[in-house]
Amino acid sequence: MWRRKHIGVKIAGYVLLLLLAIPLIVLVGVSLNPGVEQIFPPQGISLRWYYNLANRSGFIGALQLTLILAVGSTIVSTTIGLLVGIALTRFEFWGKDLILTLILSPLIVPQVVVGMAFLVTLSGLGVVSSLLSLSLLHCVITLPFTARAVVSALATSSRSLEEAAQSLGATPARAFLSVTLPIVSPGVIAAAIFAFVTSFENFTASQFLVWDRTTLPVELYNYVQTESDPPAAALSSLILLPVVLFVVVFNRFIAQHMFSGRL
Amino acid sequence: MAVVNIRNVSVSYGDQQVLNSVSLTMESGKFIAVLGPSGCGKTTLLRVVAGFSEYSGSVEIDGKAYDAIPPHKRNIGIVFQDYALFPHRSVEENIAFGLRLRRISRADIEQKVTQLLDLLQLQALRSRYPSQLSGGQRQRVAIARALAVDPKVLLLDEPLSALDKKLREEMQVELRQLQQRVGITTMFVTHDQEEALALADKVVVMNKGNIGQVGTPSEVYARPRSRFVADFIGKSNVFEATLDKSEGDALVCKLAGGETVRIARSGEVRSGQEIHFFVRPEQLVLCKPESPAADGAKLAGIVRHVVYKGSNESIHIELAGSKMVEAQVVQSRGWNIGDAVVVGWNANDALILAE
Amino acid sequence: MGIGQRLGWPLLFLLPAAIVIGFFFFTMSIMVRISVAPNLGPAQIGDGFTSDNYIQFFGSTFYLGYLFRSLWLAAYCTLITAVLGYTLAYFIHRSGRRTRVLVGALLVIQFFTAYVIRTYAVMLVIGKTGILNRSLLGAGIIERPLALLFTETGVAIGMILVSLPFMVFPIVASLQSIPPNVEMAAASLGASNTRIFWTVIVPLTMPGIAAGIVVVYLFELTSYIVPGVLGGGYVDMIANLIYAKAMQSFDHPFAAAAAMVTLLVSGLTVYLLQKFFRLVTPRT
Ligand SMILES: Nc1ncnc2c1ncn2[C@@H]1O[C@H](COP(=O)(O)OP(=O)(O)O)[C@@H](O)[C@H]1O
Ligand SMILES: [Mg+2]
Repeated sequence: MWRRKHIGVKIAGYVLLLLLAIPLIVLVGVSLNPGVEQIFPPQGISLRWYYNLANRSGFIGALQLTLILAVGSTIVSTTIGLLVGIALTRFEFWGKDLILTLILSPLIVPQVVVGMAFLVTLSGLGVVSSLLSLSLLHCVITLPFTARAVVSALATSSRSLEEAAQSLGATPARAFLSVTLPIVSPGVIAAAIFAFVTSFENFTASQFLVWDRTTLPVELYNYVQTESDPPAAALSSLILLPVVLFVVVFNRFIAQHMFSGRL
Repeated sequence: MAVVNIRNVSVSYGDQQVLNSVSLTMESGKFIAVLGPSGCGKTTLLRVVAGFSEYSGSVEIDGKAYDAIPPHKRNIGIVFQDYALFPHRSVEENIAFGLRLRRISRADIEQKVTQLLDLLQLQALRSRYPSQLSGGQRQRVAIARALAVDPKVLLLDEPLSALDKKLREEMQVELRQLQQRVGITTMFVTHDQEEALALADKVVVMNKGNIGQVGTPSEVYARPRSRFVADFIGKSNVFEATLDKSEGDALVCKLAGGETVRIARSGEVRSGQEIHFFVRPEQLVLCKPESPAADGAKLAGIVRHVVYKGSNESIHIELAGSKMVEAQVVQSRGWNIGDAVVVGWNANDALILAE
Repeated sequence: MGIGQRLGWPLLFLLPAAIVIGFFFFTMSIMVRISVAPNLGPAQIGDGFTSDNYIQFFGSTFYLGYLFRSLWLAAYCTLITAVLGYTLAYFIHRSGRRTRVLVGALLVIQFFTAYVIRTYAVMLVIGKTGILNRSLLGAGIIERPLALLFTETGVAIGMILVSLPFMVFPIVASLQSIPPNVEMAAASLGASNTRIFWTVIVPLTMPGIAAGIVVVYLFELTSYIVPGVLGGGYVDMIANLIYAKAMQSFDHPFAAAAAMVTLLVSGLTVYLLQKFFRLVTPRT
């Protein structure tokens, strides 16, 4: 595996890893500062800024809105993606490629353009920004991910299993639900996770539609633009924690189903 | 042409010993088949010779130690099981790859490539890409590519296993003819015993990282030294017996059920010794009860199963103590399931297994 | 045979997606319309058609400057990201299982963490009193703090670090899809490691490189957060201009025109990049 010539790659690889890891380590370190300065290494270990978050209704409200949006748009776009997958892989009709291309087209449109388009449309219609408009935006942004993943999972799943179930007396719908769906469910779950993350971290398009309530990324952005104390670091670390836990616990699932078994 | 000496080569992955002090000589210009079941370490042995695996022991070619030489300086041709053609290069470019790395003029490269394309009948395919070739064509390109650099030794890792039966048999003949024409020392790895027997000057039978037996195809077939070799090379009926006495050219011994049989004499044996001997299916003699039997044995049995194989038939017979044996007969005497039969053999066809 | 054969079913199944995507195309068409509408003062849009917004954009070196800066910054950052990303991907490819899992986990964590958070984390490192300056000062390597934050260099560092995972994943995937014995075959024919790398590995990973570069270039070209946080208003890019025009000057027609230009420019770049990579990707 490692030949002598690859020592250079090895060193460079570890340096790059360090470059990727250091900012996150610094972030957590800064959040533990007892003082108001964002210093690393922290001048002591204190959870002061974490307790402080409890009093910040701005952050809490933003987190609530972001979670509602992420959960809602994940459920909606995964369901829609599943329906698209069934239509495109289990029925014969003309123009499937075109339909899929249309559904995937938001992927190649920059976020700032999507946000701008929503903004002018809503203001043209005279609609004020609300949870509804933000939800629609997030569905547009997440649907391409879920549709793509579900279609490819269903397209590669073997039709012969479904046919075997039908030959044993299951109706087509029953065969799909009891045989194919369980088999493709890891792919569907992976798609849902992508959708959740995509919605949760969306900033650039969402910032055009926030009103007096903002999403968490927008709130954080505005905070670090104006303030220079550690609460943002504490909140960021708090968000990082479940991500790290998830990646550590579901390492195998992630490697197999989310990054194509390649890591 | 080169002589390869492999001495006490051991390879292990973690605590798994994959090659266990393997020693082997490949004579100049000979075609050697390494034969063994899947996972026994054949590919590993080949990788050792090519320089791709870490190993202890030594590999010498023409008396020169190769252990410190990196793979790209060994000049050993290798044909992988999956052929490993460069997918982004045409047939021609694949064959020229090694030549281009050497300081060879364009004209000479062109000439050599054309010569190999002719030799392997690939002229019509020269500008195709690997994805546009059939299995047999890919294999020929892989061989041409390996031969292009005039390697000292050619290593082939189960090159025929991806082909269907008919093509495989054609390619066996072609491969052997090609090797003889080029005269290159060749190691051919396979798990197919028929292939090994058909092609090789010398067969090396491997089992679990050890060499079981080395010999000419007829030696390993006719005189297997262990039960493993006897079973792996062709079919065999193995019997356990206790030695009684020697009688002229034969040994008399007793089977577990008490029957007395005669087998070929070999080496030093003691009375009362537990032994294993075997008889090949085609050497079992079947006759009806009461008719005169062969001199070696006269075991009563019942026909349980008959498999028609076109040119011959194989008859499965149950002997006393539920022991099953298989006999191969050329001309059917109309054995039917349930027939009573007497199984015998000529004493010199029943051979003791040394291990 | 599927669940049913009547055309009604697929139409029904596609209906919700049609609503969502239909709305998306509706918003895009409204934006096209607004981009050619006259601007009658803050938040006042006229009814007619005009090309003034585009003329205003292309007629001013000030506005064009945002576009060119974005194109240039994204170009060299993408190049650096590609080199670093390839190195990291190659490192992962050559590592044992244990390292692969570890590196994979770190990359996935990056992938799952909001850009805002990762950009802010980079700010904490390269800021005036950040760990980088403090350790360089402490080691006596520099005498005054490096001005990285609020400079183009700082923005470039941030963009490269933030987009690195997008580059690594497709390249790792294409490295893994190289047929297993091909490298050994090349070595047995006399190719050194360097030779194998340039004549076998790089050509065969060209599709992964292409995918990574297209994604990263698009992402960096239209970055908002990184120039916003690390540029502090001094290194604004095209996305920052669009937002400011729309949300601070309330000049929707101009912002819509700038967004249209951004869309077309990024579409064109993707098209050109793909054309280029089709040329340099060897056929197989
Ligand atoms: N890189 C490796 N790491 C760990 N075990 C290996 C590796 N390569 C081969 N092995 C093990 O070594 C044994 C022999 O493998 P191999 O030489 O490929 O067998 P063969 O070619 O005879 O089928 C097998 O049990 C295999 O699992
Ligand atoms: Mg093998």
